Amino acid sequence: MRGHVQGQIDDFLAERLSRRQQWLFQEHVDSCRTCQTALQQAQVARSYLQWLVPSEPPPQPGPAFYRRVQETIQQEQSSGWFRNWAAALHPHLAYPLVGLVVLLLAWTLTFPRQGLMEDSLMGMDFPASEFVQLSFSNADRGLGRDLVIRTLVDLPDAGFEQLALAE
Amino acid sequence: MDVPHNVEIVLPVPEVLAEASSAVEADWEVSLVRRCQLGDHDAFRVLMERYQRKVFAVAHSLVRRPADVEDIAQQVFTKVYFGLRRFDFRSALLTWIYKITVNECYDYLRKQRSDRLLCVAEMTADQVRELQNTPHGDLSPERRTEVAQAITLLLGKVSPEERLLLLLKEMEGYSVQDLAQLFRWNENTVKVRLFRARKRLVQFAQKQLRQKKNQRKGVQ
Repeated sequence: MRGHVQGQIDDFLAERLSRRQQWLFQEHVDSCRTCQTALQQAQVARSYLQWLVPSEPPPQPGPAFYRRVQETIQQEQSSGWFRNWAAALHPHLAYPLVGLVVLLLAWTLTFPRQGLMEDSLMGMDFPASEFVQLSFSNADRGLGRDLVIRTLVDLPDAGFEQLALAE
Repeated sequence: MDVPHNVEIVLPVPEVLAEASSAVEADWEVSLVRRCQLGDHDAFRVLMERYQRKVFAVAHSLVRRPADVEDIAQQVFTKVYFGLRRFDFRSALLTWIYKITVNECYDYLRKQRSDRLLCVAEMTADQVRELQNTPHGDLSPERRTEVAQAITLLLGKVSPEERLLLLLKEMEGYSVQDLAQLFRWNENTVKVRLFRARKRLVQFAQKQLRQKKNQRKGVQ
């Protein structure tokens, strides 16, 4: 069997093959499943796409079309400064740069919160100065004592050593 | 011999492509783009006048509403204007403009889909059979539009490059040689990509057909 004739499908459909080429093509297609499928697919795809050819002529651009495009361009130029800047720069560079700026901004905005943490109790935005002003009832004190004892019991040996050193 | 000036002569080769095939025309196109890139408004006007009919024709085939076609063409040339700064001549200018046009049409259809295209049910099994067997002229204009929209949706399932290739080949009538020039590929590459694009398109149609059959079975 000769080699596949898929490369000739377009010429076959456009009737650009000579009679002999056409005969050889047809003979091969009749005996080769792969080329037969390829030809069928080409014919079906073609039949689908023919539906997109409109029966009526397309509208023609009016005399004001150029002016309308110019107006849109001017609008875009005045409002889309970032797009123009990005287009002039290159999108592959512009967007990472913007990402970097956003990250820097985010970092700058979160920075003062670190100072607040030092003044707060256990990082809960609860300043120590306010904590000492609180008055505790006996029940509260009991609960607090239980909590301290439980924490000490849960501490590993290393924790006791550290406590002893601290004393 | 006197030839009336108002008579258009129809050539067998697509007009723009025939012009672009000569080296002089290619140089002219390069210089036109360069002038546009330098901000020459007159050059941009020439570019628009040269390609606007092509843009209108492709948009009309895919969208089919004259008022929308002009809006799309307007968006296309706005994108061309801003995008020309980055145009690097890897393909012909016309290919690039076609690509923008087809993408713009599909963006537009996606936006419109909720309120317009949903009423045109996606292809039914009968429609698919009808597509293959019915001569185009036998259907009413409304039905033709519906089928065309169904095909447009189907074509939306293949990649943008495959879509463009199929549209230019089967709808605009470009030959393999023309496409090789437009895309700056060799002819074998065009043939292989066309083969893959058709295969995918038909596979999507078959898949849709199977889904419809299964849905119908489910209903019964």
